[in-house]
Amino acid sequence: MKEPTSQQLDNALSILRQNKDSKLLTHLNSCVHCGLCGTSCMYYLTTDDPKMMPAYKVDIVASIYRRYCTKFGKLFPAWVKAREINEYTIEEMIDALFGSCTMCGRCVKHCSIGVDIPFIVRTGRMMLAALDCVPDSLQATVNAAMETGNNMAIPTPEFVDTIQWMEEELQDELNDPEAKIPLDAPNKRLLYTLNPREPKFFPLSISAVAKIFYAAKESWTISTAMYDITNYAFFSGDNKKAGIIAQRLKDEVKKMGCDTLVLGECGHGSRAVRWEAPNWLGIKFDFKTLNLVELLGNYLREGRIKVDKSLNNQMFTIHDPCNISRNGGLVNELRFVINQCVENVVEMNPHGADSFCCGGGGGQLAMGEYNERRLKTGKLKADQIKATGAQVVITPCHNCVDQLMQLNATYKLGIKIKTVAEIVADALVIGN
Amino acid sequence: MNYFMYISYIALLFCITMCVLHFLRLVKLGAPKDLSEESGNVPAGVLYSNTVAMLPNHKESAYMHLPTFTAGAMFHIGTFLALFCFVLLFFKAVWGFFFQHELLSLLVALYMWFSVCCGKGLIIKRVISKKLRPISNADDYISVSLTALFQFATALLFTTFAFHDFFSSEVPGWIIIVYFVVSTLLFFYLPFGKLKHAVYYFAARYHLGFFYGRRGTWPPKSKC
Repeated sequence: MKEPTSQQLDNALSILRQNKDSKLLTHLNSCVHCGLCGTSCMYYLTTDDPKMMPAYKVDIVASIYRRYCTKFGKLFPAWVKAREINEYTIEEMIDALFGSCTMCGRCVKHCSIGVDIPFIVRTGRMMLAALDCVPDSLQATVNAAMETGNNMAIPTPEFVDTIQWMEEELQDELNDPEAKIPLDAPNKRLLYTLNPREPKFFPLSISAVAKIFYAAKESWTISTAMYDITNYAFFSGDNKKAGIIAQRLKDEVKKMGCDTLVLGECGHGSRAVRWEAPNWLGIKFDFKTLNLVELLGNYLREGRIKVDKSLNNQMFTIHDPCNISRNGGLVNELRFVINQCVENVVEMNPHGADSFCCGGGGGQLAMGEYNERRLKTGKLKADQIKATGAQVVITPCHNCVDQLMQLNATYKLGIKIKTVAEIVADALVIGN
Repeated sequence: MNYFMYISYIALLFCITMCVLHFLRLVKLGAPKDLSEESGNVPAGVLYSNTVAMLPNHKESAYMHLPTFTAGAMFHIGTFLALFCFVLLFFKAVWGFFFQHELLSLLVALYMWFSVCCGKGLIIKRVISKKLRPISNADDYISVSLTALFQFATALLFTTFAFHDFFSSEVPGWIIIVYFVVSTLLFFYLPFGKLKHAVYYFAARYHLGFFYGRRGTWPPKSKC
C-alpha cells in the first residue's frame, strides 16, 4: 500500500466536504455507536466480529470526517477517535467498505437512529476511488465496461451469435419463424437491457424474455452496442465512470428512438440506471425507465399475456434483490407477478423490505479475494432457503442468481434458481 | 440568583445557539436534489419514518434488544424531563414563577433516579462489552456520563424539593452548586460531542423517509 499523494488526499477529502445537500453531513454526525445495528447485518451475524458491525464501517468514514472537517476533531483527535488517512486507515477502509459490506441497506431500516449506512459506505468507497485504492478485481470489471461496453468484455460478434442462437431456439419452441430477437432495430417502443452474465452463462434467460415479448406482441429491440445494464462503477465509488457508463445507455435510447428503457434482471444495474444515473448526469431522463418486473406486472394487468400457474406447480420461494425490493420499492410488484405465475409460494423469514442480502451484492461477486467471506455470509440466506422447503428460488437479479447457485453448491441445498422472466415464460399460454 | 446559576443559563443559551446553528446549516444545505423519477411519495415516507417506522416492533434494534432499547428510551425520557425541570427552575429564578408540589417533585425525583440507573447500565454495558469497545470513543463515555450526571443532580435536587421549598435555606447549598455546575458542563459540551444527535437525529429520520418514500418502499403498500 502506497502513501496517498497530497492531490489524492485532497480529492478524497473533498468528497467529505461536498455541500450539495444535507444528507452527508446528517449521516456523518448521527451515529451514536449503540451497536444495535449488528444483529441486522449478515456479516456480523455470521462472523460475530465487532469490526463487521455497520456502526464500525460508518465510524471509519466518520472518524476521517471528524479529523479533517471538524474543529473538535482537529483539536482533540483522540477524544473523538478522529483518524488520519494513512496506509493503515486505507487498508482498514478497503477491507471494511469493499470486503465486508454489500450495501444492501438492511441495517438502515433497523438502525435506532436511521443512519444511511450504505450511503456512508459508498462515500468511503468514493474516497478510496479518489485514492486509487479500489480492489483490482472490481476495477477490472469497471474497466471492461468502459473499454468494451460490457463488464464481461464480450466481443460483439460473440454476443450476436448467442442472440441468433437463442432466436433459433425460440422459433423452434414457438414453431414460428417470425419469432425474433430484434437487434439494433430503430424506433421500437422498448430498448431492452440485460446483464452480460446472460449471454455468457444464462442465454435461456434471454429467450425467456423474448418469448414473453412475443406473447405480448411487444415492439422491442436490443442494442448490440449498449445492452449492458450493469454499472460496477456504482460499487467502485467512481461517479465519473458511473456517469460515463450511464450516459452511453441514455444516448443509446435516444439513438435507437425508443420510448422506454427496460431494465433487465439485475438489481444494482436497475438501481444505478433508475435511481442514481440522473443524479450522476445532472439531468432528468426524457424517456421512461421500467424494471422488467414492472413491465411484466403491466402485461398481466392489461391482459397482454396470459399465464397458467398450474404450469409452475413446484414449491417456490422468492429472494428479494436488495436493490429491487428494499431499495427499489418493488416488493409487492414482484410478488404480484410471481403469484400470477406459480401455484405454491412459501416466503422466507424475513422477506420483502426486511430480506437479507444473498451476499453477492456490493460488487462482492467481482472481488475474488473475498470469496470465502462471501460464501460464509451467504449461509444466512442458505439457511433461510432450506427452512422454506422450496424446490425453486425465484429472483429477478442475475447477480443474485450467481451467488445463489454458489450457495446451492456450497451448502448442498438441492434447489433450482430461476429468474422472474423464466417463471413467467414457463407459465405463458400462447395462442388459443 | 447565584453565580452558578448565571453561568449555567449562559451555557444553556450557548447550547441552544450552537444547536440552532447546526440546524440552520442543515436547512441551508437543504433536501437532496434528486433528479430521478419519483415512484413513491416523499411526504408520506417522511411521516412514516417519523412515526410507524420508529415503533419498537418495526426495528430489530428495538425488539431484538429489548433491555437496551428500554433503558435507552427511559434514559432519553429522563433527559428531556431533566431539561424541562431546568427550564422551570429558570422561570423561577428569572420571574419567580415555579409550580412546586411535594408529591410531583417526589415523582420527578423517583423517575430521575430510575433514569440514572438506566444511564449507568448503558455506560457499564459499553465498558464491559467487547463488541461495543471497537466502536466506542472517549466522547461516547463522556456524553452519556455527563447526561447521567445531569439527571443525577436533578434527582438529588428534586428529592430535596419533595421536602423543602426551593431556594429555602434548608436546601443544602452544595446540591444546588452541583446541579448548576453539572448543567453548565453538559450544555457547553452538548453541541460538540455525540449529544448533538439531538439535532441530527431528526434530519436522519427525514432523509430516511425521503429515500424510502421516493422509491415507494415507505410507507409499505398493502400486500397483494
